[in-house]
Amino acid sequence: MNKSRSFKIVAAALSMAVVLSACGGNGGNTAQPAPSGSPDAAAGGNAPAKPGQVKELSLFIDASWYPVTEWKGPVADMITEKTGVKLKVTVATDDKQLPLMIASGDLPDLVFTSSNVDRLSDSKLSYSWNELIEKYAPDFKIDKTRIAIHTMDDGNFYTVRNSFATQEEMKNSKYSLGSDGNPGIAVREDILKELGNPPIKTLDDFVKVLGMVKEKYPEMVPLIMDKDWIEQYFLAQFGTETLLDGWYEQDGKVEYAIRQPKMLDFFKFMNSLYRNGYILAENFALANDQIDDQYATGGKAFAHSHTVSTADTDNIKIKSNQGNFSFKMLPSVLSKDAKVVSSGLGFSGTFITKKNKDPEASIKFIQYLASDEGKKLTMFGVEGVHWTWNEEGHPDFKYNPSDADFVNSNGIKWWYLYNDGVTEGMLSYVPELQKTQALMDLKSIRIYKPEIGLIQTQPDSQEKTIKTKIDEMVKNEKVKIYLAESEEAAVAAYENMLKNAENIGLQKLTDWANATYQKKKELFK
Amino acid sequence: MLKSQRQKDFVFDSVIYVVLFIIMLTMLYPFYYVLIASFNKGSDSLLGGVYLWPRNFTLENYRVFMDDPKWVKAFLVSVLRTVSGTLLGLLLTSIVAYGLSHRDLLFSKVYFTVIVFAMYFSGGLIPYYVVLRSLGLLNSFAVYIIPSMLSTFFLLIAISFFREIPAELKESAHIDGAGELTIFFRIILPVSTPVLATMALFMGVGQWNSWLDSAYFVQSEELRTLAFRMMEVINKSNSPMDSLAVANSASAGVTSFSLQVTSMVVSIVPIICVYPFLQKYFVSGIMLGSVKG
Repeated sequence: MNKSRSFKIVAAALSMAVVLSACGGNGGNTAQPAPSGSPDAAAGGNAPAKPGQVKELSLFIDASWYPVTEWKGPVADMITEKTGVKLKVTVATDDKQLPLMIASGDLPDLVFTSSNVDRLSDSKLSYSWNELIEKYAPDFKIDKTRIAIHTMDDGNFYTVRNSFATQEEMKNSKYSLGSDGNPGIAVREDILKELGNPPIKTLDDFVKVLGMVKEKYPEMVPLIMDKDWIEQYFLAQFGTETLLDGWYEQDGKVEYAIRQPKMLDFFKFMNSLYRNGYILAENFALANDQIDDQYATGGKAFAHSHTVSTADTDNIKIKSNQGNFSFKMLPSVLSKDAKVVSSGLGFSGTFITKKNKDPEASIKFIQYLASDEGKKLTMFGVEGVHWTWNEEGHPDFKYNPSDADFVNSNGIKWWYLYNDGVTEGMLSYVPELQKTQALMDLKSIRIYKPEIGLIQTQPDSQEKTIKTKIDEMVKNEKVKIYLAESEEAAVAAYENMLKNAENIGLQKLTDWANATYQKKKELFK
Repeated sequence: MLKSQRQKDFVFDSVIYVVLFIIMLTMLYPFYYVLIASFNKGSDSLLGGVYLWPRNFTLENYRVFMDDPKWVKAFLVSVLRTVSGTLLGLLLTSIVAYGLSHRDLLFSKVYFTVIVFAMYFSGGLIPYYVVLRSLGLLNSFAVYIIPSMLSTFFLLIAISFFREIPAELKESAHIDGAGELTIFFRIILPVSTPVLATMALFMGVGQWNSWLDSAYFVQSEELRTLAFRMMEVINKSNSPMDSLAVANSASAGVTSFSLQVTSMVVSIVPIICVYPFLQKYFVSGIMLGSVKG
């Protein structure tokens, strides 16, 4: 009797355990196919709204750092007023969340992503913009270049990334300058004065001044460089057209950066800076991007290589530390060869998923954001409240565009689900900042080649493996060139780096890149 | 002779104490550093050199952190899921473990094989998500509780603990006329406090720190947990602001680092407060004297 009673209890407990262990992520084979269209908040289980009502669409933002997480504030309200659409926003917690949603089929109405553009550009997951435009918004015109960049192998395009501008568009907009992510060097004004204000119009002039600093102020570091901004400024001066891990184009063919003849001149120059004692060897081993700032703002360095806003940023810090010196920017162009090639394709694009409950409202919503009025509203704020249009062709801001708290709390800039580099680039036009002039200088030597940006290795492909190996090797070998004891040793180390790249498979990679390049170039015709 | 022995003992003990003290410091100092950094002005911490106490005391980090009413809600959700998740988890795990601890159980080998297999192999995130969806658990409070109610790892520990309990206990209770449930709740559980306390502590800490389920399986803002909100803060502090914006905000004193250490303190403190109360249950020998004869 006892036995039978305990058996009942154990059997009951076990049956419960078996049911629950299925929920414990243990036996994954019990999964039932989910009923299609199962209600789920992220996938927006609401029925389409009636005409005249405000429609709510769900939006997933695939960027865990995104500073705005709710559809609120004057910009969002105004967009809703103009389009009849409001958004229910979910910001990703990490980069695995969107792949999980894709795999399980639980997609929201809209997805805004940068790293999953290729994955979502798929007729099984998203509506193509071209079919929606044809059906619901025939007067929504997108230029040829943007369409070419986003056209997939099936002939459709599923999104258009923001933050992109063509050469033509940038040329026509004098006040659109680009972002903070551009290289610049700032130097100490007081020390220059003590040296008798020697002119700095060429790279040689700059090197001469570094020599004077070393001689007169031996305890000072002539040039300190941020760990992420070591090469870019000088690469631009040598006119290399690319960073160390990119492609450059010559006579219709592409080649890998390190093969460029100008690269050797650049490496010799960097090596000479080291051999003359103008830069520190440990600068190449810095693990933290604050150390160079401490050198500069603590008065231990003469020149500081970082971005175009280096002087402005350093001066704010020096002021708050009660320092009595200041930095000014070097010109962004110190040689006749200087050149910057922009091969960027933009930042993020919005997808209208197949789970979308109102594709018509969605494409019209994007069409409004793509209009001149929509782009300015998103990027600058509400006209008359946050800015007024200057007849010169730029906004006059009533707030400081660098005040992140104000910008984020008002939802300015971040709803750029469709925008372009021209409008976004005007946020940088703040005449009283040194950064503005530096960006204007850079703009004068910038060339746009988006077709090079389309040479993208696919995940898990053989090309990607080769490229990753080469880039990793260059990362290690370049420091040996910079720190070589003589110019001959530097040249030998450079040649050794090329040989290593050949051994890893550089030629194979280049052949693939050229084939891709020729195919992508066709799209732009 | 005795004296020199004592001296030797004294030296030996001193060396042990010094070594243990150093080990304790290396364990505790990171916590202490996080604590003082959270009370130090963020822009000042960046300059380095803050080691023993805050150089530039401020409560600003906590003010910025708690500025959002969402925090209170998230705290309540976390407390609720920790308390209910731990209690229900303990109840179910101990019931199942007690059943399985009977040596004369039919098909016990099969059950154990299933449990051990489930402990080592899982279907992965996507099948798990699909299972949760088909059970209708997504976007509900139950998703925090039900999947973690039975832990195979603790199940095995509890089974081996229950098997240690002398059979005479159960037999004498039977003779006195007690049923299985009475025996389990009134005899077995009271003498199992060490294993229950251990399980409660680990389950509680697991529930308190869990953010993944709140991120992936829940969309309602009402159901977000404290750990998830902290992940949000840490994520946002990685926002690629331009350096001018960073300089401007740093001059206000709060930096991404100071926010991160503040969120660490907020998440550690409740668990540290609970720990001493559970500590007293980690007492072995509780069974001594429970069997007469």
